Amino acid sequence: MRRPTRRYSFSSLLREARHHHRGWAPAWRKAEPKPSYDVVIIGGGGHGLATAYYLAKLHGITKVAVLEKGWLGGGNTARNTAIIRSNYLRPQSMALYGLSHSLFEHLSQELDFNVFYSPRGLVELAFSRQSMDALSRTADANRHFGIKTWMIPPDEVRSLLPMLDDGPHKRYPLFGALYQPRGGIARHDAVAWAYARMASKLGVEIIEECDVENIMTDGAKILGVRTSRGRIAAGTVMVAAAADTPPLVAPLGVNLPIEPVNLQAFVSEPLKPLLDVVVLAGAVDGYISQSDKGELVIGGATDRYPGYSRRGSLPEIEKTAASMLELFPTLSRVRMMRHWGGTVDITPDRSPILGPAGPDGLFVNCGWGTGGFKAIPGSGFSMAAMITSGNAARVAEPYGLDRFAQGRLIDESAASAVAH
Amino acid sequence: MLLITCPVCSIAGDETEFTCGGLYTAPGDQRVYARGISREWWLCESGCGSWFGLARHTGNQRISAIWVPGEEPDALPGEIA
Amino acid sequence: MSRHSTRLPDDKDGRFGRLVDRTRTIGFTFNGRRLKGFAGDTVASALLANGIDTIARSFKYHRPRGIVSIGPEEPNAFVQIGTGPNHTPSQNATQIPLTDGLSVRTQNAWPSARFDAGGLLDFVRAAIPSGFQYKTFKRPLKAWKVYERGLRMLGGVGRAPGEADPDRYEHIHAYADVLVIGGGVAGIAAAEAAAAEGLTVFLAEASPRLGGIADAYDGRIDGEPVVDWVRSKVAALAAADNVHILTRAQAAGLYDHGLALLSETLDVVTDGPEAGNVPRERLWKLRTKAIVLASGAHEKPLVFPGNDRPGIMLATSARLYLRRHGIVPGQRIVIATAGDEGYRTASDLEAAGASIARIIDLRIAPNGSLFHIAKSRGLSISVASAPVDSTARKFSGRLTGLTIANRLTIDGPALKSDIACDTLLVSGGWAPMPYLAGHLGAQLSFDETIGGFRPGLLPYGLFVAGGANGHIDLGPAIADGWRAGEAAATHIKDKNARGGRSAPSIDATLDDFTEVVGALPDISTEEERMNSFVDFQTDVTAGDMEIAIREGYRDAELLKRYTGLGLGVDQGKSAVANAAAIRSKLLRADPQDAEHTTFRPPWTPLTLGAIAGSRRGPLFRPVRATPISASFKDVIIEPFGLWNLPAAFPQAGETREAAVRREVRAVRNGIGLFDASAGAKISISGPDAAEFIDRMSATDIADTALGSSRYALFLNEDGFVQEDGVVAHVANERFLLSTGIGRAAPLTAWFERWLQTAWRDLDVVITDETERWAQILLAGPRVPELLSRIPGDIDISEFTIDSFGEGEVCGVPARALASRHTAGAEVELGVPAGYGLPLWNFLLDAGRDLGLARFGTDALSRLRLESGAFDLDRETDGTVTPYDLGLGDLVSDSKTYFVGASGLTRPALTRPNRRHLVGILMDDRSLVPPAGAHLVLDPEHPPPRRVVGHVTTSGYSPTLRRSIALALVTAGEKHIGEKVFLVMSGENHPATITGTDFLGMAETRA
Repeated sequence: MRRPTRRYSFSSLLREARHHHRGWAPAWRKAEPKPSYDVVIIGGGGHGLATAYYLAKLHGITKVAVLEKGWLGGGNTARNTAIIRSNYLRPQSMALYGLSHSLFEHLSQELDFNVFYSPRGLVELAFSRQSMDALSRTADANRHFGIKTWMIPPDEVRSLLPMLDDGPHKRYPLFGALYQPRGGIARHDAVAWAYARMASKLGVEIIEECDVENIMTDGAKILGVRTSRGRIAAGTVMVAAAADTPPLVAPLGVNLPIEPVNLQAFVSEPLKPLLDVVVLAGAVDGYISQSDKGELVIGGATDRYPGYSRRGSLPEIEKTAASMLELFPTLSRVRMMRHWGGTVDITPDRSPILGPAGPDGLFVNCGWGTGGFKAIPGSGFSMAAMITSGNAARVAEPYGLDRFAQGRLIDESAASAVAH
Repeated sequence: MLLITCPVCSIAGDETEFTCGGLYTAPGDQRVYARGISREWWLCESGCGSWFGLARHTGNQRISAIWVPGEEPDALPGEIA
Repeated sequence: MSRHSTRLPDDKDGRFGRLVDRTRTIGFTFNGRRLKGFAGDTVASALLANGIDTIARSFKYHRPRGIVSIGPEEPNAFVQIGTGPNHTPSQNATQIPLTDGLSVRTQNAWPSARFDAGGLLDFVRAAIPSGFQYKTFKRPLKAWKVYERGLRMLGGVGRAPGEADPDRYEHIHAYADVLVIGGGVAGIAAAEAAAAEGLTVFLAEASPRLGGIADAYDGRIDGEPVVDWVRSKVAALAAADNVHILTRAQAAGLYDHGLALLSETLDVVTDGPEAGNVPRERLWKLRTKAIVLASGAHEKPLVFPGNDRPGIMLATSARLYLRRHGIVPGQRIVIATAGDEGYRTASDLEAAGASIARIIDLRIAPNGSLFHIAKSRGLSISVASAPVDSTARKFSGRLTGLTIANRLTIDGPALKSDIACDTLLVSGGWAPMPYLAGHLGAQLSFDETIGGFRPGLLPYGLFVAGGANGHIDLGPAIADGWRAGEAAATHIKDKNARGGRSAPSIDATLDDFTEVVGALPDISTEEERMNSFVDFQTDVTAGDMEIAIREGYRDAELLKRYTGLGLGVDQGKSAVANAAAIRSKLLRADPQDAEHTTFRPPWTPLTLGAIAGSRRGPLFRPVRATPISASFKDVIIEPFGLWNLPAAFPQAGETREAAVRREVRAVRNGIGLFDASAGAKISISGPDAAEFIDRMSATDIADTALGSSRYALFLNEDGFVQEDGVVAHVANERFLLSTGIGRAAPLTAWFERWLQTAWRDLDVVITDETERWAQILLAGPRVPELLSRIPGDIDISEFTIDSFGEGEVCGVPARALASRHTAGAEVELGVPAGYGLPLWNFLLDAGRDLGLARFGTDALSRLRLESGAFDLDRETDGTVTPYDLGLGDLVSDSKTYFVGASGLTRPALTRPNRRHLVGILMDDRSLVPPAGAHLVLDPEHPPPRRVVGHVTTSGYSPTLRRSIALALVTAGEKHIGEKVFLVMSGENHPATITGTDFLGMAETRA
């Protein structure tokens, strides 16, 4: 019996081809819950898995369990439009998303798993003087922070986007765009799989189909969790369950100001390459990119009322389709293949909630709203640091829950006016 | 797409003709949404312009009650306390 | 090149080619070749009639592919239809009616479908199974760009059109008690039963005809031939007042509260009086009380090595091509069947004169009457056998032969034999297609006895009937249709339907279901599985599924995402059932527990144009224009939210900036005229109006004297500035709030929300009057002179900054409000909307000798900047407090309550180092810093650099003859007079922090 093939490379593919690929090791071990761990992470999506990986990799904490109630990466990690950018306005956001963006640059190599990180360039279109000014403000904030973005005039936008229809006959004339050359996309599912595989390699246990019923405490500190597969003891518990986080921590007296809303998105049929950059168009509530497989991945706004349904709904899709055809009329005969909704966890200032909350040992990592995918590496990195030694977590520190009571908001509602 | 009937003007329409105003709470109330039947404010935006109450399951979207302010129903089966 | 499939020259007594009219020839082209078909053909049948077998290349390995089916489940035959503006990619050839001059092209192949360079990928297939892309192309990092470019070129299937779509699309809203989806025999029966209860019934059928695939079967229903039974039932339904039949209408999605989305295809009319009137597609949004899903079943392909060759077709589809279009699929035909369908097809083909080389019956002990009849007729039958390999021609990929094995000996030294053939017709049994039910969250459960998914617990108001419900045979399907139609009626009427229909009398052979052959029955090695295609379109083999499962992607969703299973343009319809069975087998799990992935709408791809409907061009977001400026020509118009407003009025040869400066000077020295009609005007009246507005506003309002006005701030609940405006006490118990452009709707809704939900005891009426009034702003030192020339009874001569008056001007009702945009003399005159333009023109004439000029939003903004007043859209962004703006005086210190009062006291809102609104004067007087530019103290510090603020508005001031700017600066009020730097175009530019009253500063200096 050969030893299972663990490393991923072209030569290992060739070798396995000779054996009909019989030798590939499972990407991650299917673990059975043990009675206790040092850290239990609730939620096997990108954020939970990345935190587990960095705990093991950078802090030597390997007695970690990631509990997932369904399938790995099956929440918002599976439902987003995979856009990666760091052109945020506030310094706290630039630090967090910038860190995340820089980790994406070498993620495929670090995790030995091609996540199709594609920094192909991203344009955020301005269709009015006001949005031009707002984007200029972001561009200048980015420049002083060290994030490479700049404003480009309509001519440059046109050369990046030959498909764009603009001109005096249009509803909105094009004023220019905020350009981030390293903005791009990645293969969203692959990010979860890649983190799961490496975390598992380092000893983290990933337990799927394990539903957490409640978090146990003695009133002052965390004792563990009670799950559909029994009790698990742990002194530290991080909840990274998006819109399911508030009900899990509410019994512990932690009230998270999070509203669950369905965010709508759809993909087109696979087409030969026609769109080389990621396009955000806040003025018309839409954004679009083309995956390497050829599908146009199009995102729209959220439903106009809260809910957990995770279902696609028509009104926003209709508006988004109309917006896309206003920008790109030649797509009119192209067809939509699937549309769906993801339940996003929106906070009042559109920034996440990171850090300790309630009893000793409890951490939350939620409130990512419409922008969580791009933050996965940064969120994992900084939460692992925070869990290990609170003071080393400069990047996550401003995102504590207490900011709402204090009015110390990190308002990114402008940056997330287009939801993604 | 929700089908809503305004209890004030009795006009039924798609959700696009109404606006959701969040939980049926007093201003400043810190309660947040949960999975299950929630009471909400809705506005008959394209109709009579009235705000009214509506009980909706946030998971399956079933609407179980609808009322004019002041005529709130008693506790509904399955309602989040 | 030998032709394989052909069309029978005549219709053999009307039996073969029932739908085509051999007297009407239709010309079309395939990859530029001129070909002929007949009226009644589809693109697929016409291609088959012309002997064309390889029409497509698969997505990943570029394997040659032919037509597999006759229905929507087709996995291979996706072609590009039309040219130029009509170019449409990835159309299912089995669903497109053949029309004169139609251009049909192969996709994803270069230079052609027969000789495709991409076909080289098939040779390295072993090294690039599912998921390979995640394992390689990682190093070196620099090469990724090149790898990715290559991968992208291989990705995609069709090409997007390059021209604008000439066609239009529309939406239609409708209501029916019952929607029946699918016009096969079950759907017809369901519609009949529901209609008999007096309900309104909508019967939607995707194809142009009702009857489904009933015409594939012989025998009689209630004494009538099947086809005649369908015809008479359809005639009765069509005649009923309460039944609406819609053909070529594909059910695309089911949504909450009984909403169904149907996509209807129409024939666009390009000439004659109706030209352009018919949309290409019409999207029906149908509200229903109950839905009967009678979407039928599809025949399953067999999964075995080399099962994807051109020349391999579904047995019942082949029979239908023969009966409908007169097509014989090949010269030497083998049939492999897991049930009776293969025998029915064999019998037809024999009658048509085709040669049947062999029937391979997968069943161990077939026992149906059809089997015995075939046997007695001397057909060569291999029982308990299965195809285990195939051979093919080099380029076209056309099937040339099969290896078959005896299933009983397959684990030992198998008895194998080879058969030469050019065609294999397969039938792996039938899989129900209740997948639309999944849109409403229905869980489907795998039924081992039929090898497909059947609906489990159904959502409220949804019923499933016929083939979709697992009732494959005609009789049971009809009976089930009646049952579902009656159940829908019972559901709606809340009492039992009349019912009482007895089962139809069927004189037809029922399928021999004694033994069901599962997918992948006889494939035992990885190598064989690697060659056995499950999802033809995305090239996912059983071996790919095995690799994914081995690597831990066991959940159905993970498996789908890792392999791409079901993610093709065909939505994987033909693969769902086989894939579920194979997954169970590979997992060694109980097939009963087989899972399906989430079924996401739409069921078949939906045209983006159809989804957008009429929201195109001028209807995309209809422009709002004021009654005055709508008529303006030769002005620079800019969007302001939904409004289009004049930004500047350049004269001949004048640049925009020159025009703005001239307009500003006119206001400072003479008179400027501005169309202020877009500004929101909200009336607040009633006994509690004063109380209400005092609760809403941070500023004290209630004590405003009648006939005067006050500038007020409104905060959101968090304490940040949300609105500003002038509140005039216009009459007893009536106030008028005038505020910015585009603010009327949100502000009215916000007021109503508080009024109706929190303060229901207050007696107040709120009215948005924005559109009822045209409003003209007159500004400048000579305004009083102009006003004195206007006939009317409003005495404006005594106007001060807080005046308000109502009366008449030029004989029409009018109101006048002192406003404060420019820090000079100004008044806003309001007249009913229709009088706006005449008044505007009158004022233009009357002020001609006073240095009057029209001005636009640019100049207004510049005037406001000069005065140092903040603009809600520029200086606030939802995080700015009144104190930050230096407007603390406007916050009441006497009121016990107003909206935002408690938010305003939170620690972070009272910190001394918040950002304050200040002025910025560049050392270089001519340099205008762009809005958004940040201010730093140490521009040489490497990033991240400490930023102390940013410019919010900037411009050249014609009055001060220098550049001026407003900025929000950290603790700015304490740093007046200090230096900061702006970095522009790589250079550092010093500037000084100042107060905001630029005009005041100028006067002091003067």
